[in-house]
Amino acid sequence: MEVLASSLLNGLTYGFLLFMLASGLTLIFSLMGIMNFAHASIYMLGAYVGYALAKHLGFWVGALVAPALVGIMGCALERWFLRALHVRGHVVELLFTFGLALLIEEVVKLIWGAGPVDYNFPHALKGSLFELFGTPYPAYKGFMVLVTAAALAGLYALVTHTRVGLIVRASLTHPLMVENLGHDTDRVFMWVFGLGSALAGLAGVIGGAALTTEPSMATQLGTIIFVVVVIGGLGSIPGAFVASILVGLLQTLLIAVDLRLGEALIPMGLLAHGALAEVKISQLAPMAPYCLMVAVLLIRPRGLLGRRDA
Amino acid sequence: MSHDTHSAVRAPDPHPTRKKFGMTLIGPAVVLVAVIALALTGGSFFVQLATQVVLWWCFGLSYQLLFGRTGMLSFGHAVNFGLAAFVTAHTVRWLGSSWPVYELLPLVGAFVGLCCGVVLGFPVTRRSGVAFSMVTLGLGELVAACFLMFPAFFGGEAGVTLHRTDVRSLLGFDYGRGGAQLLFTAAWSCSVLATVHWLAGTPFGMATLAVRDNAQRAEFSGFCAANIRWVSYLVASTLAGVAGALSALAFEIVTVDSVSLHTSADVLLMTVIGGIGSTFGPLLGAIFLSVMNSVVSGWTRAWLFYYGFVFVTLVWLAPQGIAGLCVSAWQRRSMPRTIAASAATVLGFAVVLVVFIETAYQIFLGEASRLPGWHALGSTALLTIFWGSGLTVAVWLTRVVGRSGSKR
Repeated sequence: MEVLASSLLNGLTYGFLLFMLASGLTLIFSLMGIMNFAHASIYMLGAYVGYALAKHLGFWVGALVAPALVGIMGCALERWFLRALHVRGHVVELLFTFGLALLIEEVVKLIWGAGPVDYNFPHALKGSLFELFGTPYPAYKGFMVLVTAAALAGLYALVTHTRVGLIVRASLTHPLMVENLGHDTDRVFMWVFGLGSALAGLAGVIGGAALTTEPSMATQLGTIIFVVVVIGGLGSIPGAFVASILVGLLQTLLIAVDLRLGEALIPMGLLAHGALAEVKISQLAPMAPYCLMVAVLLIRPRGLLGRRDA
Repeated sequence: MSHDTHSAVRAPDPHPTRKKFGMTLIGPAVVLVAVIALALTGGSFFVQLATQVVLWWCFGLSYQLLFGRTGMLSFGHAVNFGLAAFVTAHTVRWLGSSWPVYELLPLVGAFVGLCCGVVLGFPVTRRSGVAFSMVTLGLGELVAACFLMFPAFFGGEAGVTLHRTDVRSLLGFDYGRGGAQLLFTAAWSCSVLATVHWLAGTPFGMATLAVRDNAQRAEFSGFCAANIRWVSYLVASTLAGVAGALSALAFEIVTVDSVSLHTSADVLLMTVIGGIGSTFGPLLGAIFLSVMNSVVSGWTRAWLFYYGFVFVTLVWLAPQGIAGLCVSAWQRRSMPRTIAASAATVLGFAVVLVVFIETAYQIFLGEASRLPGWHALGSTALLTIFWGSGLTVAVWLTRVVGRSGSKR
């Protein structure tokens, strides 16, 4: 029971982190059709910039400034590079961002070294928030949930309840009409791209401090983010939310199971043989998102909440 | 802004007429013969290098069929390659010296690739465009994540080793020598080239172009776009299987790296760098990748940076790759001055960039660069060079970005 409760909490925390990345990615995709392969690299940049600032100015300054800096980088990327590529189609944009992800990783290795750096939450967040079945729930995890929830609530309010959000939503479906009404859709796109990047940067600050900050963190999380986006349905933000939580819970719950596949299948009346029976269930955890993706694709090719034409 | 479904990936001319014959068959043949002749007169290092080139070319040809001709950007193509390599390795170990079937072993790889195409290809080809790319990425990671679960098949961290001389040759050649193995690899790669070339001229080959350029219109003309993508994926995975088997036989070791995203990324980068518009492109890309991989990586730790930089620059400024650059240089041969001027600009920029990056690596990572005389420089001189070259690169890049970034 206590294992289950703590795994559930951890899974939710992880799921929120995933959604912070997936929401920016989905927002950009649904608006511009760009699947930004470098999104996870931007997340990594957020972590490293936060680390560099935290070393000199303290954690809190880094946590505030790093997302803004990364967001400006995102704006520049859209304005100077992706906009010119847009006429050549989405596949070329995907290729370009793929190469960019490679370059960013090399640059990070060059500046901060190939090993992990020591990036942690400040001491104020080290204590425990409350105790659950005798195991303390660390305060920084509560902070993670709080920050992600606040950022996402802010994003939701911005998109649904403000004038800017109205223009963004209109640009989603009728970009030409919005342009004819006198709004600069290109600029809207640029700001949305910057906003998505800033979200990724904030996720990087939090995720980098909670997990490890190393050059391979982009690839590790990146593939999972793309899988999450596919499971939820390309371009659907509610779908991305459901999928993030699902993947987060699935991965942490599976890690907690200490059984071999052979033993686990016996109560179900199934028998596994040979190598398959020897596989530990916790070993399946890294594969779980991908298996889920294949299952979703076979049953519902457009994703959980995706539209048919996306 | 219209949502155009046209892929920007476009072959110069889809009709393999007699005029195009030179580009698709004779060009690669000449370069291939040159590579092999160089290798056979050089030492064993060159034989290894040439084997790598031919292998990557073979693999790249299958990718060119998938991406260049059908417009499917796959991030998981190495799955077909790697699984075929593993099965071939296990087959060689199982066969031992029982039957003399060495020359037919790539068929095992082809069969495995075909099976992969049937099983994995069906779900992924239901989607196209960006969704297809994401799904192949996920599937590739799924297969790569299996390696911890099945150590018997994947051989754990160490991989699976084999001795290719265990299997007797059908024709009586001794494949223990690298040269013979190189010729064997090249012969199979040429058959792959022939397949790709033949397919390009068939009605099916034309249909793949239609699906690539406008899937909706192809549907209205009576084609099932998803099935055409699937068949194209089947052929590509079969050919990738051949390449995988050849790689297992040539290197005598298969590790989990060969199914991973790393290899998928390599084949993608290499094919795009070489040029996806023709069968010539993958060969140029294979030469580039192999030289970077085996020669430049020994010189500098920054080789991955250069690799990525070349890729990004080509995608951005010259989407037809090196082959496309060669073609356009040939078309403008009446203006040798313009070509020389642009070549000089590119060369000058490359030199300044290399100086900047190497100095940066020396300053930041404390590693003496291989630039002649660089290790003897004092820290002031290094910093001056670093800032000077960095500024030049920045100004140069800003100009290029400003020029092409403001173009709509």
